[in-house]
This record gives sequence, C-alpha cells and structure tokens, in this order.
Amino acid sequence: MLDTARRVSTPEGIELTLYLAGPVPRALAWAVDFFLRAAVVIAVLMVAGYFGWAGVGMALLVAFVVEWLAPAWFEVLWNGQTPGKRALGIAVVHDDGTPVRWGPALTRNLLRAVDFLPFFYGFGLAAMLISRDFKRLGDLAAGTVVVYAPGKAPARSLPQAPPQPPPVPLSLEEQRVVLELAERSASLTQERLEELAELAAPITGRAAGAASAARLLGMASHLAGRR
Amino acid sequence: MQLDNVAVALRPRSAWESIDLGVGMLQQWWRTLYASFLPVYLAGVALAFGAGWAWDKAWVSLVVLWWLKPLFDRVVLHVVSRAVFGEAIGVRRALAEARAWLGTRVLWALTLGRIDMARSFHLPVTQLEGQRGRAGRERRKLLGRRAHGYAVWLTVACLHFEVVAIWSIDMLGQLLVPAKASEGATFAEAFFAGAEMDNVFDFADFAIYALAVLAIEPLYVAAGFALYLNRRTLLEGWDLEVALRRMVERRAAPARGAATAALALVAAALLALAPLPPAQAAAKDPRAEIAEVLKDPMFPHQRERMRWQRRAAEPQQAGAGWDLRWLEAVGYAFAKFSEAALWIAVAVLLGLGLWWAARLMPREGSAPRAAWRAPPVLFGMELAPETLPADLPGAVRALAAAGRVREALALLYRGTLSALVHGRGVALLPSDTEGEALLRVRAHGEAETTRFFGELVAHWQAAAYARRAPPPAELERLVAAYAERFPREQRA
Repeated sequence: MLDTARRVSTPEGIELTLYLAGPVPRALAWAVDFFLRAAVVIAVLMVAGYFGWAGVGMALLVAFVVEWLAPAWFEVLWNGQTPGKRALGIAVVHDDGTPVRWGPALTRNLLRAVDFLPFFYGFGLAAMLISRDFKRLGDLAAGTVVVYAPGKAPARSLPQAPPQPPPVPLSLEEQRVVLELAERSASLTQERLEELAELAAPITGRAAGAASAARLLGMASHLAGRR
Repeated sequence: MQLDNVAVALRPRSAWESIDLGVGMLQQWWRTLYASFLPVYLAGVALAFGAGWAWDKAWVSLVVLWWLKPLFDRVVLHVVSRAVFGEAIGVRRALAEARAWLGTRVLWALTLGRIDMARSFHLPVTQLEGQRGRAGRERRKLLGRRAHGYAVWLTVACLHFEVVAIWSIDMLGQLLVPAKASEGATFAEAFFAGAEMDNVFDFADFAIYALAVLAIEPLYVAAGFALYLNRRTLLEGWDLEVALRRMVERRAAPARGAATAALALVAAALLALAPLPPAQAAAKDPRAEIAEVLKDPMFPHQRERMRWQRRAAEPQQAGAGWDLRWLEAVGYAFAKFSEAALWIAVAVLLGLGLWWAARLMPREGSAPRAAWRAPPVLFGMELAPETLPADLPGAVRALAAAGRVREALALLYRGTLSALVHGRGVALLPSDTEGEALLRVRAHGEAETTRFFGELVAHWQAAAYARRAPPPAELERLVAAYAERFPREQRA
C-alpha cells in the first residue's frame, strides 16, 4: 500500500505515525519564509541607511543571523516550525519523531547552502523527489524529516438518529468505521450513503437502502453513547 | 474500477498530503510511467524541434513543446491511473490504447483548455470520467470546491520547479563546461541587452527546457491526479467502502458485489500526431565534397619542405621598476656553494663509511695472543711436578701391586701430562679434550712419544669412561715406556 505516512515505534512500544510533507508544501513554506526574511532585512537596511557604514555593517550582521540562524532558532523553540512552516501546517522533527534539537536544526539550515546548488535549490528539489521520505540533503545529514504538524481535529458532529444497538458485537475497528461513516454522512450523497450501508449487510441485516442507512446511523448514535 | 485492488492507502487526506501522495506515486511507479511517457514525449520534442528548425527560430520550438504538454499529460495519467488500481501497463499497451487517452477533448485541451490553471486536477474529469460540456463543468466545480485553490498552487509550484530545473541544468552546464562560461551571451545578458527574440533562445535552451519538462511534468500530473483521487475518496467514502468490505470479509458473510461508480472511458475521435516535416536536404557544395574525398588516406598529399626561417627575437623584458639581475648572481653563487657543500658532504660520508668498514675487518697480527702458560690443572688433575711422587714408576707399580690399577693408571697419566707440559713444553690448554691433547702432542713432532701417549690415552679413556682396567702386563709395559721416555723426570 503506497502511503506517505511512516510508522515509528517509541522505546515504550507506542506506535506513532508521521505524515511526511513533500516538496510542494515545503517549497511554499520556504517561499513564505523567504519573503518574511527579505522583509526583515529590507526594513533593517532602510533604518540602517541613516547610520552610514556602521549601519550597513549592522544590517549585514542582521542579514546573516536572519538567513542562517533564525530558521534554526524557530525550529528548536517553536515546535519545529518556522513562520512559513506554521502557515503550511508542517514541522521538522527527528527521524524518530522527537522534537528537533540545536545540532540537527543548525545542520539542516547550514546545509541549505548545499541544497541551494546549482541554482535555487536544484539539488534540494532533486533530493526530495528521489528520497522516499522527501528529504533534502540537509535533512539526510541532520537525520530530520518534515511532517504535518498534528493540528486540532476538526469538530465533528454525528447526525441525530434514534439510537439502536448493533445486532452483533462490533470490534473496535468496526465501531470506528461505523462512527466515521455517520460523521461523514453529510458530505456523502444519499445514494452513496445507502450503497455503503447496504454493503455493511452483516450488521445492517439486508434491509433495503434507506432503511439500511437509517439503521447504521442509529447504531452510530448508540456507539457514541446516546441512549 | 475495483477498490479491492487499489494500490494506495485510502484515507481522508489534506490537500497537501494528497499532493505528496502524487510524488510518492511517481517514486513508486516511475519506471512504468517513464516507459510510456518517454516515447510520446520524444515524439513531441522531435515535433517541436522540427518546427523550430523549419522556421530557424529556437523560441518556436520552446512554445510548441510548451503547447503540447496536455498531450504528454494524458499518457502519464493513463498509466498512473491504472497503476493506482493495481494494473501495471507497459509501453506497448499504453500506446495501443492511445485512442482512449488521446480521444477525449484533445482539441479543447490544446486551445482554450491550455490556459487552465488547475490543468492536472481537471484532466481526470475529462479523460477518465469522460465528462464534457455542462456536466463536465459542474463536475469540475463540485470536485474543486475544496481543492481548486490547492490545484492552482500545485500548478504554480510546478511552474517554479520547472524554472529551478531549467536554471539548475543550465548552471551545472556552465559550471562543468568551462568554455561555455566565457562565451557570454547567457539568457540574462541577451535578455537585458534588449536583444531580438531570435537571439535570446537557442536550441541549447530548448534542450534544457525539454529536460526540465521531462523531470517535472509527470510529477505535476501525478500530483494533480492524487488530489483528484483524494477529493473523490472524501466525497464518495472510498476509504469507508474499503473498510466495510474488509469487515464483511472478516465476518465471512456472502459479499454482495456493490456497484461502484465506474470510470467511463469515452473514446472520441482519434487525433493522430502530425507527421514530422521532412528534414531539409542540405545542398551539397562540390568543392567541399572533393575536399572530403581527398582527406582519405588513399590520397597522400603530404610533402616535406625545409626552409630557413628567421628566429624570433628574444622578447625584451618590459622594464620592471627594479633591476633584479643581482638576485640572479646571488642565486648562482648560492647554487655553486651548495653544490660544493654537497660534494664535500659526499666525500666526508664516503670517508666515514670506509673507516667504519675498515674497523670491522680482522687485523693481521695486531692482536697479540696471550703467552701460553702451563695450566696448573688438566682434566681435573694437578700437573705441578711438585705434587707428583718422586719415583713415579715405583709409585705406580706399588698401586698396581695393591690392586688399585685404575689409580695407578691415573697417576701414570697425570705424570705423563705433567712431563709433557713442563718437561717438553707441549702447549696443552685447559679446554682441550684427550683427542686434542693427542693432536698437539703429534704436532710437537716426537713419533715415539706420540705413540706412547696414544696408547696411554686409549687405556686411560677405557679405564676412566668404560671402567676397563688394562691388564697388569700392559700397565707394566706402559710404566717401562714412561720411564724410558721421560728419564729426566725421575727425581730419584
């Protein structure tokens, strides 16, 4: 099964799933960061212009920090996210899913110089397209990976239906499927909903389309704890 | 379409994630994808190149290749959409099914549809579902309700990827090919110099652009298809269907084949690729042709000519501010001095080596032997004459008469040695064995004495080591011989 999710086991035996972020959202996050950095440097330059050469020196220092150190600073102290990454909902973590620390963060940001070659991240793009984990060279060196940050789960609502217990005990996975189906029933067409409900004949019991769907929604209500 | 064989994990994804899944598809199936994509693409490149060649303008090639992109997209989508549903199709089948992927509104795609900003996302609706007209528009609108923006961003991103690829390839070329950098007239220079459009691009740029499209276009199509797939998964609950089917299978209930929405592949008019324009036959210049022929080694036209030539005058050194000729003299002196020092060092080393070698040689007669001195003890026997009885034959006979034959023989032997050492001056050493002592006595040159000493030694060895005492008559004979040999030793 082709998927962009990777399972990682913690020493405690807990399985985490990392949802890897690929070149397109990462490029867009980079673009956001790039424009922010450019804005900061230009603003500093405009102010520094009043202070002559000393001001230019300061501005160059600021540009250096903003270009090379600030991304690492953000990634370590801001849950692995630079502003651009936050805008796209992605974050840097270690390969094993732990929060990124200073060493890898600095490594992957300083190695942007290599990814930049030969022109505007040509090597970085090629590496991301080739690597199964969408890693650019800096990620490969630092042992980091860019994933989708776990966001807030969207609020879900179960349609109101008279609760009715399932005719047979359902496993945890089956309960999840029934609940998921009920939660998403609003986005499905009525025909499709009935088709899916008919598919679940072993628990809906060979009722015709509409009745089958109603029974399934009722079971979902029951599973959700409504009585 | 059977969801049972679907080869990607179906789950509701965010739009970005589904685009990433498209990248994953490319990584997974790039061999089959490119196998079918390459022939079509190469044909397109040839067409574009031919067009540019015919007009003698490289930009025409660029535009034509760009314009033909929807054609290439279609074959990629055809292959990837089947791969997703577990059906790997080779290049032969992909080309045989050209009617299926080429026949769906290609004209529209190459004209008005060419400016669609979400092209790869909309392509499955046209090509796989075969929706057209009002139905197609509504379908695209429905699918694009939460995805259209992302599809546009995908287009923008891939456009930039293409630009990055173009410049990267160009830069790599300039970095690795030193001659090209010095030629100047790169795109930027030509562009900012306000050059004519004809000079801005050349066919090298076209080749680079073709490479970039080769790299990025399948990615664009696969990502757009993944976005489409995710949208349908969400709208139609494909993942739910898979999960429900699994549940049914597990409960071993008779599975009812649920009809799923089939992707109708509507065949439309087959649009054949325009044939390539015939390559221009270059008009042949007879003179050049003759020169070509004469280059053959069969026509040796070499001739050796010698003539005098003026030597080129030594170039005058441009007057540097400093006259540095004295430095040359200093250097010469230093070199000579070093050479002399080196030879001296070689001589010294050679002398040292010889001296060392000479020291190791044995030197003739230079080591004086320590003067021989009569050893006080031989074979553990006192040799000093004072320690011997005054009448040695008498003492021996007395011992023999007392039955102590061995002691008698020992006394005789001792007396003989003492007489040899002190009387005759035979240089016996404490380290000598009996045999060596005999050799020395022989070297001393007295035949009788040697014979006597030989017999005595033989008897002594037999007595001392084998405990065989000589018969009394023999002993008597030896005593008599002793008395005859060494009369001076008798102090009686």
